[in-house]
Amino acid sequence: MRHDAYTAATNLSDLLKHAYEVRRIADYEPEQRILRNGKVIKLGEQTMEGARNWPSRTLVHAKTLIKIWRQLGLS
Amino acid sequence: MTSIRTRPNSDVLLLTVLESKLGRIATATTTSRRQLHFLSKAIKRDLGISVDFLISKGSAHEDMEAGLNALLKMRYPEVIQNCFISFVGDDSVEVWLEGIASRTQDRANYLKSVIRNYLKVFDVKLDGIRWADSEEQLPSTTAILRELKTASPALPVELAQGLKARGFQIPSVSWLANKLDSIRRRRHAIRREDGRYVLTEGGLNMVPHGKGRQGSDVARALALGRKKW
Repeated sequence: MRHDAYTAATNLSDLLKHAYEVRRIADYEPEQRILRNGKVIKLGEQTMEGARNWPSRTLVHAKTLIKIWRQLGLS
Repeated sequence: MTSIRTRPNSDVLLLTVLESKLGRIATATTTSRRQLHFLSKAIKRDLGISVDFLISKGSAHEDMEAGLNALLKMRYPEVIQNCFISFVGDDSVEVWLEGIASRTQDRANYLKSVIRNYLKVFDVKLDGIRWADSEEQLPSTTAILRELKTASPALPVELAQGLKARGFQIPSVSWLANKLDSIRRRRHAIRREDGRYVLTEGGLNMVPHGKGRQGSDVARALALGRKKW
């Protein structure tokens, strides 16, 4: 359970950091262009395909953490 | 490190590290999250600069993930909604699946071998599969103790009801009675003559308590108020 909690938490925090960084670039650094290489669209280091998965990944990790939360009797 | 970026609004420096350079422990060729954490503290202490690390997945990882996602969605559209991969070592991964966990062991094993074979193409080992959606689960010992704290003194059947109300799955009351018995043997609870279980002090120490509305102490106080003596 500890491993699950650690993985979910670190994956979630990585995702949030990435998302924040892309949003920040999009909002405050308009001179950074969206690059296109064939079908791959990128801003900063983030691809659009990767970003498409964000909502479901977040949900998965959040559900894992909530499950562990309940098992520990914290809710 | 692949890039350094500054955030103009704050004084935080953002350093990007490739995921492939990240391992469980620090070795000659890989660093670890723990080491990154120490590093950022040291930099803050010695240079006064706030630093944060961003772990970027390589395109190989993304491609592998996209491929597996497409494969599973195509073969098992009713079962798998989404999947993604996270590295747990240099060459082994965990696959997270979002969907309805298979009820039969055969199907689950078959799915596992499909995924394992796919990963073999990339020279990657499967460390394990994680299901994200299994709502119903068996309560852990701590969860049972938590319920017992609220409901003491309680019969197994009453505890089963309380646990089910919390969303846990109880295969049968005798299953729960077995668990209560091992709790009793560990001296976390005692069994009274009338068949009711009560938490001991040792058991009480195992249950996390908090000050919020959801805290177990609050729940106990409210339950006491509701009990008919």
